[in-house]
Amino acid sequence: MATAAELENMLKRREYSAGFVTDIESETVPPGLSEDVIRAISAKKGEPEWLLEFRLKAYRRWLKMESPSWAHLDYPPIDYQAISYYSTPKSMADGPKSLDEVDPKLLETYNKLGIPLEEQKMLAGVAMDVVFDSVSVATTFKEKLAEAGVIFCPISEAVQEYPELVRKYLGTVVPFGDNFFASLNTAVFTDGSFVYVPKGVTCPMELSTYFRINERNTGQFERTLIICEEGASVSYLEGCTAPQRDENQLHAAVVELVALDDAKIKYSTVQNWYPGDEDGKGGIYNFVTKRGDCRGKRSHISWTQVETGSAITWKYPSCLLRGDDSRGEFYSVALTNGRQQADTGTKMMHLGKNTRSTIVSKGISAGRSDQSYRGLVRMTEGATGARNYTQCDSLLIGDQCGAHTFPYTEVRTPSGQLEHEATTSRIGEEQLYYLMSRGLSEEDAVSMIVNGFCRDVFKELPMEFAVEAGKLLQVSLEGAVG
Amino acid sequence: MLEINNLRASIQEESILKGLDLSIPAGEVHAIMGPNGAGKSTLGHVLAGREGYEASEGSITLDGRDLSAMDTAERAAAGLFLGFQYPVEIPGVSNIQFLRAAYNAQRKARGEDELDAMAFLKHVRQFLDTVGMGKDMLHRGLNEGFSGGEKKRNEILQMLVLQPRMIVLDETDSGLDIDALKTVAGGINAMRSPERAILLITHYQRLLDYVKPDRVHVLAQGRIVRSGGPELAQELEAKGYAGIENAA
Amino acid sequence: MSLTERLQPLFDHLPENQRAARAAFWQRLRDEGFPSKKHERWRFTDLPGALPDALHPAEPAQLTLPDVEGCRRIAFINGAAEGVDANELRTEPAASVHDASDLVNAALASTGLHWVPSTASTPLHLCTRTTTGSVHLRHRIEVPPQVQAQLYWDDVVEGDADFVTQSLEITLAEGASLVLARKHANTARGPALLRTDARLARDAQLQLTGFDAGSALSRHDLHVRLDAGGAQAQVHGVFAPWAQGHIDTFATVEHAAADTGSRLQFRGLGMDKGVGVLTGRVHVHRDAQRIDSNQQLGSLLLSPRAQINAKPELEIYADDVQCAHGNAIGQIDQDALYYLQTRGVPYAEARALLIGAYAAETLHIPAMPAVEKALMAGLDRALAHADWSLT
Repeated sequence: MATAAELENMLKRREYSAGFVTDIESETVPPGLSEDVIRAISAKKGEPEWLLEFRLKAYRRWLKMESPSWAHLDYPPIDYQAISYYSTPKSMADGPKSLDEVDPKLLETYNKLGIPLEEQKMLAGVAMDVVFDSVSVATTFKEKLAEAGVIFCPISEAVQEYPELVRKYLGTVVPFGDNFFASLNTAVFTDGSFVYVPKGVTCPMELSTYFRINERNTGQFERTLIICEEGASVSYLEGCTAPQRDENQLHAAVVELVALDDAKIKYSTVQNWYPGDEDGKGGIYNFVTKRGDCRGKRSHISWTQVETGSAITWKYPSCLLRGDDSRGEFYSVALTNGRQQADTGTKMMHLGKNTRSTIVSKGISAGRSDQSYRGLVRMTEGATGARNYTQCDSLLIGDQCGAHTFPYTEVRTPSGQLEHEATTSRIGEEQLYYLMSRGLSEEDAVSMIVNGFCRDVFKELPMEFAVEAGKLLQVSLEGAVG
Repeated sequence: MLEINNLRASIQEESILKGLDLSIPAGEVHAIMGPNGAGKSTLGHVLAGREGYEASEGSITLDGRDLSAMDTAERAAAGLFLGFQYPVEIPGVSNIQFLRAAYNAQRKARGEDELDAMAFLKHVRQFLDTVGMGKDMLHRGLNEGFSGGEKKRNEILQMLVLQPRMIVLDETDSGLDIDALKTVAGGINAMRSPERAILLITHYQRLLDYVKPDRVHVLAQGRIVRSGGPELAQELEAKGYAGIENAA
Repeated sequence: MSLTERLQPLFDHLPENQRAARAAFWQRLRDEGFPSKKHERWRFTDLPGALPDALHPAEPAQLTLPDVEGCRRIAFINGAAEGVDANELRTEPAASVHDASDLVNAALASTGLHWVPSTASTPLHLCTRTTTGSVHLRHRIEVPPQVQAQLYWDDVVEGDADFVTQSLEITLAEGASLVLARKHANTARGPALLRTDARLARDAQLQLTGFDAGSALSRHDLHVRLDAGGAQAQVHGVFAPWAQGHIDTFATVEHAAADTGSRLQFRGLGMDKGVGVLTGRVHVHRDAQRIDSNQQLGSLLLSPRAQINAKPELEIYADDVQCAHGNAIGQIDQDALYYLQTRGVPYAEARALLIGAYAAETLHIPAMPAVEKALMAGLDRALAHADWSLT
């Protein structure tokens, strides 16, 4: 067990693990975006020349692009010059000294979600000497990974320690000019996770952003890169059920996954960013580009998500099924309440031979929210023997919300087969009555029905997430019925 | 145990129950028979407190407690069980998960201790043979894809697990073959006790061969028009409802 | 040259009074332009790009036209009416245009059918043929209350036809019913743009069955609006592009009132290098409760270079609804093919049998058996046109 002094030093170093230099810690870059801002960010992070050039290339391309307008979303134009693209990470010393100083409503939500006390402290940003235990847990975790040869660290650290790896894969799945938000992210990304699993290794534990040391204040333009070499596999969990606030309203993340022959990547997300008040004001705008490249033969990438937060959600985790016999999966539960809006779905691009994709999307709309599933299944000419099965269902709670489905299918190969089914319904009065007649309260009955509706997705989540996800839905639906 | 006085109820502005009186003491089995459209199912839903089925006049008390002051879930916790004529499917919710939630919700409402998953499974298992169901049925979705007979037997299983005191079974025998009927009857008879009352709502006399009632009532045109002993059921079987309706 | 510059000679060719009455639409077309591939609803189809360089006005022609048992035939050959009563001829312009793609027809169509059937009306066979030049027809069908009518629209675009647009405006009054069958084939050098716009009042019933085939570009915009309770729409269609045919169907059913129902069923047959595009959009308005809608799309890819792009859409703002849709794309069942052959049926015939079976349910019109036969015959001809040597 380290001494208090040693720990304090470790934590001090933690604050600077992103490569910040001591005397710049108190500097902030004023709002606005320009090549100078990008150069400043890159300099502060001590990045190599090639990375700066990559950022600048993306920025110059971004200037020529227009924000996408085809989504079923309604929001005021974003002023990109009013955003600050760099700010120092918050010092732990500024946080609450104990849970007593934390907003009781927030604690109530943490309790309802079943979040353990230590984790609550971490989430609420309670000062460092109290999170002592979490630090040592994280350290053991890192040792186990090192033994297996797995690299799991902030991407800013990877740029310094493993530049060849980063350079080889960064931007190869989501090119710098892919779309408006991806280009912006490439220009100004702050930090994110880097995971590398070498040949034949099964990562010994589920990787979670909770254990990523530099998690605070990186949410805005997060960039994640996960690479599994031949025969490797990893399960990665992003986010947490606890409601998260951020004074930065715009979030534009990019996640790239690369799976070589026989590799398997499972990427799970639970997203509960602040959705805004009853009028939808002040919530987070979440514009995410996530793509998995099944580069190798028989590779397998699976996306699982439970989305309940954000005022606006725009994300389409996708799979490029390049390797022959590769498989892509997308399991999603999206819940919108209040005035939230979500336009989300997936793209499965069948390129190689005998590829398979499965899409199960469950959307729940409540309050005055609006939700769309937007999917694309494309089977190109060379994708002989491609197979897709899609099931997307919507559940409407109340008559002031909207649920829409836009499933694009494009088939160019004569031997491709796809099957798609979709239903829209609401919680039946009969179902509620039946459950209540057996003693369940209306709230519990709604929760039970909604969980049943989401079952096909929940069973794909890593176990602890599945339990949390159920509770998260319950908490998010409060006030939606009756 | 169950006292119904001058019960009047309308569904969507149509008067269905027009002054129904019924008294069922604890320990007895009563049967209500009657022509279609007489209000038999309506009675069941009014007792269970379904939205849209409120009583406009009259009273319903269970052990002296006024039921109209309670919502559906509260009535269940107070000991009422309604076996549905058309059991509802709830996809994705397993039978056992649902049973445990309902059981514990009722116990909690009564200030009793809840059972954990293991203890509850043990509690349920003892009833599986009575309803002729295998363990696998517990993990299927609630009534999801169940045949008619399976749904009715599942209602009986719920009754056995939840241990209610005032049991109302709405046409539980409809659509069943002889074997299923015997199984269902076996379950009902297993619930007979001095502390329980059972009300069988049925169109056909067949079930009453296996579950012998203490009293039989005829519900026609929204009221109980005639009551008698078990032999009344045979009389109805022989003569049909027309004679009764005319006499009412 | 912009689209309106190319169409200018056609607009100028209209008689003075007609040009005046259509000037507003012409101006709107000049301002808004025709939808390009950048527009979501036109992302696979470049109609202006398919126009021949020079567009000519139509010229009269003599053609032998088919008869359909039990129907009264009227025809428009290269835009000229034949067998049409004066009171059945439409001359007034469009009342309004809801979609920019309809502006061309609104500006250039000077005539068409105006049919108000009565209970005693014989089923009508509307035979439209275009063999040269540019033809634009705008038809109007008004079915009075409680009247049951039947219409077979038989459209062929071939030879030197440059550009054909036809719009069909349908209103069904309370309790009215219309069975409408459409057979369309385009083998000409220019594109065809068809539009069917139907409004249904209380308890009105519409049954639409279409067969669209060809080796050229055809786009069909179908819009049905259910305006009051009891209104029901059944929209069926089979599309079969061969050679470099490109057939794009954009169907929208709007449930603008509660207690309405819709059934959409489409089958696509992609042959040779044909491209089939299909969008089935069901839009349920707020407060349009107790809707029952079901949409089933299915397509068979019958050759290595065929393409199918299908999208069944749902836009729902009410909650007491039953809405479902399904979409399946695949090939002919090889086991079934083999089975037929083991019973002595030659390969080509077995294939035709299975394709016919696939489409038959969708093309079934109980009220007009003779017309159903005509549609199935159209399917046989489409299959015969395709080059099966590539498969």
